[in-house]
Amino acid sequence: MSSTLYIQLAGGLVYLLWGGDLLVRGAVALARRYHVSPMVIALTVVAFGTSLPEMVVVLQASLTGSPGLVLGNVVGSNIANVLFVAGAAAAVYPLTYGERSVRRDSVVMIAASVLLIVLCFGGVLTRLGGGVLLAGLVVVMAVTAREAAEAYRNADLKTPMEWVLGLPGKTGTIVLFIVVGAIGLPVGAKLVVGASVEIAAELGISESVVGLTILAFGTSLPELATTLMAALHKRTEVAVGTIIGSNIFNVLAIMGVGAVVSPSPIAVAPGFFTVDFPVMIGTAVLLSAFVWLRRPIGRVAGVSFVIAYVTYIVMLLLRTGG
Amino acid sequence: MDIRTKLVFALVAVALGSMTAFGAFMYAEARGMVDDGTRAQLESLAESEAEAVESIIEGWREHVQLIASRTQLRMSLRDHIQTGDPEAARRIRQILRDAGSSTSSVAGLAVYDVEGRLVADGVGEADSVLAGMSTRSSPGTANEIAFRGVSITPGGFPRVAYSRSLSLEGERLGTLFVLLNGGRLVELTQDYTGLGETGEVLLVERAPAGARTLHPVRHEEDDLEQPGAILLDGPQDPSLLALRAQEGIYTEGLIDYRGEAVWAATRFIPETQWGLVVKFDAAEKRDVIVEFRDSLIALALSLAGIAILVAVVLGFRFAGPIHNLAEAANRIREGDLEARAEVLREDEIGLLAETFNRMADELEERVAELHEFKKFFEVSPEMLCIAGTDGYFKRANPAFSRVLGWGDEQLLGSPFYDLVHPDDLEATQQEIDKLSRGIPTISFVNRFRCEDGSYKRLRWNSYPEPETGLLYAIAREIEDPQAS
Repeated sequence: MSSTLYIQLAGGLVYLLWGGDLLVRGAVALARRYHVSPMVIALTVVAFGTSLPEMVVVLQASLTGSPGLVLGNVVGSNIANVLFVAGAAAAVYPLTYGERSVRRDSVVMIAASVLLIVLCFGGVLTRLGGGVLLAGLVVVMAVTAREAAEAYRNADLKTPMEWVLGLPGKTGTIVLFIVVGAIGLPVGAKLVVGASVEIAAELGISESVVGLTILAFGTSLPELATTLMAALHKRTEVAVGTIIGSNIFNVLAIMGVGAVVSPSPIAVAPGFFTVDFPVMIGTAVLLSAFVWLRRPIGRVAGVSFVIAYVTYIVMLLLRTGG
Repeated sequence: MDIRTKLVFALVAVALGSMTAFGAFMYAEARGMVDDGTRAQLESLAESEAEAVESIIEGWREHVQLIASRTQLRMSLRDHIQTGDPEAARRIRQILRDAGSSTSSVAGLAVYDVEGRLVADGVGEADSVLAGMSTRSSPGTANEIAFRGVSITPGGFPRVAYSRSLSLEGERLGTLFVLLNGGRLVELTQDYTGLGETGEVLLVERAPAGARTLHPVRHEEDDLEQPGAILLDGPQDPSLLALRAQEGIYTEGLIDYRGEAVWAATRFIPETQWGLVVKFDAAEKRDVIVEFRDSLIALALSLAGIAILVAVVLGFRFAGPIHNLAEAANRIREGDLEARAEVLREDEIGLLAETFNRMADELEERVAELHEFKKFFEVSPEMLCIAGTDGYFKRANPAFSRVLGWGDEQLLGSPFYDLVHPDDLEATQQEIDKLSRGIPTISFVNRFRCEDGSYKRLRWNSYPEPETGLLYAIAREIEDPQAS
């Protein structure tokens, strides 16, 4: 039985990624058809679209009464992003920083993490807390939208052939992409959340731990793939910026939406305060320190990051006797 | 749509389609198996429960037989009838008490004479029950043990009444009534081994409103008036089938006392006129199938998800080289003639890439050749041009500009007749006519206007290509005979 659960988890993740990809491609094609400017498309559909998988997982987990998965997923994702994604990529090729806004963004990441922890102090994350996170998202986006637009204008606009070819052309195909994507995402979310809940039950560990480990790792796989590919092509200037952006979005948008839609306040297990929150803040500060000192994250640091991640995961599983 | 997405759609459709078919088949099979299994289970449970009830009944009869067979009892009864001796009645009472206390299964005993008058009773509390029964009827044949009915105690436990006529040496003396504890019935029906979460065994007798259980039920409702036995008055209750002796297994249309749809097996116990029902909630059986179906669906979807992954990888493998090829073609189009596609594979795409590369080699050679000829065209001091019979220059080498002073734009932009001296115009037109009929021009002379307004005499040698309407011409400036 348990092996089929892992197949279900893997299959569900594929649906999430594929569905998100299809939906984004369909939406981009639709926007192009109605002559929406490519910049607006890049800043809205593409930026949000790539976070769709996490978003639907969180919605599904929240609405089906597994809020432990939500908090675990967000916190675990942020830890995995820094330690595992950045670490593994740095082990391949040192990570440097191209964008000037990375320093400021790293501060925003720490601030968002602290905000989340403060909102959890009561032992629960309420709907109001979720609203505060979303308000934070609006502020961050308002500040960065102009910059992002600027950055987009200066960006290399040569679109790769796969991307152009991947856009559906005929109306029927556009509709097909959007419909199949819109079906694939919730199907994937249902499979992933269902498998996660059952795996937690089967291993005798809490849903939070499953969220922190398996689910967080699973939803970080796309970031891992793109960052690793960038490292293999020795083009790592944007990797750290992407990771920081993803972490900010995780906390403010994903957690915010999760807390707002959850029928009951999200309970925060005590383990979060003793281990996971400190680790999340610690990794955020660690990454920010590299950014502020303008020290590239080298191979040694990368390998250490990965070792730290593995240690953290093992510790988590031991903590709950899994 | 790109190849990758097409592959994904195709593979997912195939995977989901085949797995849906497989799943539907498996589901139907499993459903059939659960169905058959449940029927077999119901059948064997009903059989063994009925046997158990019959053996309990058999035990009761033996008890009654044992008590009735005491000669002392019948002799004392005869003494009592003949002499009215109170001592005899006392002896009877003693015998009954002894019999009653020797076993826990006897709840009450009484002896009546043939007129139905109470002679003596053994265990006090039951006499009223027995009295009610004795007045209703008396056993027909001598020495026959007869089941007389069931009463339920206020605590909800069944008491089963039996009677046996008492006679001595052919003379009928009276009747023995025995009230037996139905505890074993209750034990039997409350043993839920093999009955899952919802299954239960019901033993019922006829009641005015339908049926009545002889024991407490498994799923007691809160609003029961009294514990233990309950009335079953639902029109679709399986116990009604059992009481009508419609023995069998039913999986459709039955609803039990809770209003739950049930699967049931029914038996009829003829001696006591009881019905026996073994039943499961349909939902319990359905849940197994539904759970199985859900995990089939999840597994099918998940495996189709893996198919997506495979399709994406395959798609990248197929599309990658084609993208490279297109990229190479683009670079050649942009002028990078040395661009080549990578040939990494031995399949059709590899063949295409190889052919493409050969074509590119050839093209590069031709372009190099062309370059050489173009060089000749450009450096030649002779005036070389390609013109059309339509009257336009198509291409003119730099010598034209040097001699006449016109730029390419002016030369190619308007008909060359505009530049021909008006006096030579007619001859020139005739010459072009000849050319368009395929006759070459040799040493035709006319005057062309220069940019500064002066005229220069040109001697033309032209070769027509009638198929394309093009003229390949060489012109040389010659001295004006008037000037010399």
